Amino acid sequence: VFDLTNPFNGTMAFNEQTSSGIYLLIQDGCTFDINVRSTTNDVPQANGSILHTRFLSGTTMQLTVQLWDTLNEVACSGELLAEMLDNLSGAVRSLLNAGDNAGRLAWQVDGNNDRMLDDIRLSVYPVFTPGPPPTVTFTIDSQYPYAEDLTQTRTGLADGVQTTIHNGGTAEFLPVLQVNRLNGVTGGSPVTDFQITNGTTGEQFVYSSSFPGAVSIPAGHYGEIDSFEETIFEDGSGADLDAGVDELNSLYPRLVTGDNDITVDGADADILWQAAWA
Amino acid sequence: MSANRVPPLWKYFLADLSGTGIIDLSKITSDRVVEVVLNGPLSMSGTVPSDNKKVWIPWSGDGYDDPYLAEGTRLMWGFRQESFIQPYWTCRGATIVNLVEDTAEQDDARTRFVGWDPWHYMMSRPVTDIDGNLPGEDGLSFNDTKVSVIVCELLRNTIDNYGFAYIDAGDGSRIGEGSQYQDWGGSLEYNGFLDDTPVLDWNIPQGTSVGQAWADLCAAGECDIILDPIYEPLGRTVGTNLVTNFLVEISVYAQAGVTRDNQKFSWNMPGRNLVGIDRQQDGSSRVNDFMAFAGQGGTAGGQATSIDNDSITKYGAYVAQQFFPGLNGPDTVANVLAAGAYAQDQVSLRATGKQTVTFTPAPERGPRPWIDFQLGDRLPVWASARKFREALG
Repeated sequence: VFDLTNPFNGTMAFNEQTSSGIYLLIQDGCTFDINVRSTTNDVPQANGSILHTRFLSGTTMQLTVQLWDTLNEVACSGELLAEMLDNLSGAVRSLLNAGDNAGRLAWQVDGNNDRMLDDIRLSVYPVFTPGPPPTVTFTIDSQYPYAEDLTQTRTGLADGVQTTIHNGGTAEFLPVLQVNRLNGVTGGSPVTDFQITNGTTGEQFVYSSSFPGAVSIPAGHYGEIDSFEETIFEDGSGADLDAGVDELNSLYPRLVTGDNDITVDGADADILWQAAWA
Repeated sequence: MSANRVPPLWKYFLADLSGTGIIDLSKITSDRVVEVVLNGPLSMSGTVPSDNKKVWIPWSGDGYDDPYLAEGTRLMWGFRQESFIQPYWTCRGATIVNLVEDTAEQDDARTRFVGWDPWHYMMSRPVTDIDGNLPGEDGLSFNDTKVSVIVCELLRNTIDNYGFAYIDAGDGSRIGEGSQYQDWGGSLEYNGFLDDTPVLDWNIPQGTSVGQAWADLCAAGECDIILDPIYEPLGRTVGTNLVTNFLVEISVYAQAGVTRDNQKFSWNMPGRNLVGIDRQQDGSSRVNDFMAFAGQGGTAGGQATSIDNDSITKYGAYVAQQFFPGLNGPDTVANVLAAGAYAQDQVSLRATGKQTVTFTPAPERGPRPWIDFQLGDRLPVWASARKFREALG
């Protein structure tokens, strides 16, 4: 079963009976793509190639949906077909510029946690084929280079205490950290300096309020680090705290596959994370 | 085992003119170009989406409410990722953003920006004496003076008369290393190099900027000037103050760099790290018989000639003549000698014509800038005669 979260009608279920028929995903018409962005030169005057550093695109998913009344009967009545098309086109169209957490495609995985593409948008507008069965094909995409577990985990990182976080997925994940919070409760003291260390990768993120223009994270507030966007804002959308990042000594935190030994020194923090899959 | 991170090779960081940090432009800057030039200003450029919050948010910290990315009121550092241990990033460029261009099409707008290091800014600072007087028709003369002192004195004079220049030349606390280390309006932490040679007589014409005067000294072969970028957010000590907006520290060499024979660029020879190479041999500027005349029409005492007979034998005579109206005055002998030295320089440089080699290295295989070689270094470039008409090496 797939669920499409969207601004138009909240959620739409695929592959199960609804009061408006069944939106049936056709396996042959569905794809999940991540492109490899590659640059290659030929070795001059010799056989072989020079492979330059490669990167991944975000994710793209094409969905092909057949419209059925029941599992045994296609949606052939004009009234039902119109209702199903309106529901689907409204949902898909509303994803055109869906905001943060407004668009999401989730699906069940046998024997594992539900997964999703987060922050999706409409990439290719729906194309309707009358059929029978009536069929709609459209494409969505996400900025993230992975799918992720549907359920987000909040793990408290007490000051100076190493905590192991296990990314059981197949891809590295770029988490969000809320510094001066512990298990959702914001600290009552200001935070002047802190370091986040991933002992598994040896990578560190360093913040100091002593840099020009930098400020302490005030008591009763937290600094939210978005590792994908590479930003740090007070309470997620308040004051820009970027001036406090030690530019020479910081890499934004990431969770590699498997165990990650995370330590925050100088503050408590919560890390918001999911296993990533691709 | 964790996979190596693949961060961008470069990131740019913006601050206001006081050095107060604003934002880093990681992940949104495309078309990044960092151009490093010997004896000229370094430039850094890139393009960002105009609608990104890292670009358009007004910055009130300096009282102007310009957008984060703005012209004339932003310093921009360029950091290069050269290590997987701290410090991950090394400062390789420090500039003042002096060009911002917004371009929109139907669906989106992009903002291109360029920053130049303070040498470019010094093109907007006139040469003055210590009291701020502009040179008169006789120019500003230095006699029997170390070239590094000339360079730094021009800097100190413009700092004294027109304000901070973002360039650190030291505060004189290293005086024990030579008289060229004086209080040039810089910091206690200055770590540059000021050569004690050559010593020369030099005249700077009326109307020259500090940046142009430096360029003239370099073009005349008297020195190489290197502005090393620095990023020290906790500040450098100037008197009793911590200054957080130095962009570069200056070094003056008789000749910068060293020869690195083991750092090879090659096309069809071992290494094979050049994915493109171009050689131009230009004989149109060849000179093997140069006549220099001191004074307008040689009025200061006739001509000085330099000839390369081997070149004439091979190519035939290529003759050039030049007059120096400024070489006049009472010391005729000195004027003619000066013209003669110039003639010899011209022939030694131009007797075989000019060869220009440009090439495109594959960064994964070739010597790495800043790590394997530095600005001013001399490195071999190889191509064999069998595939490239004539051997290059």
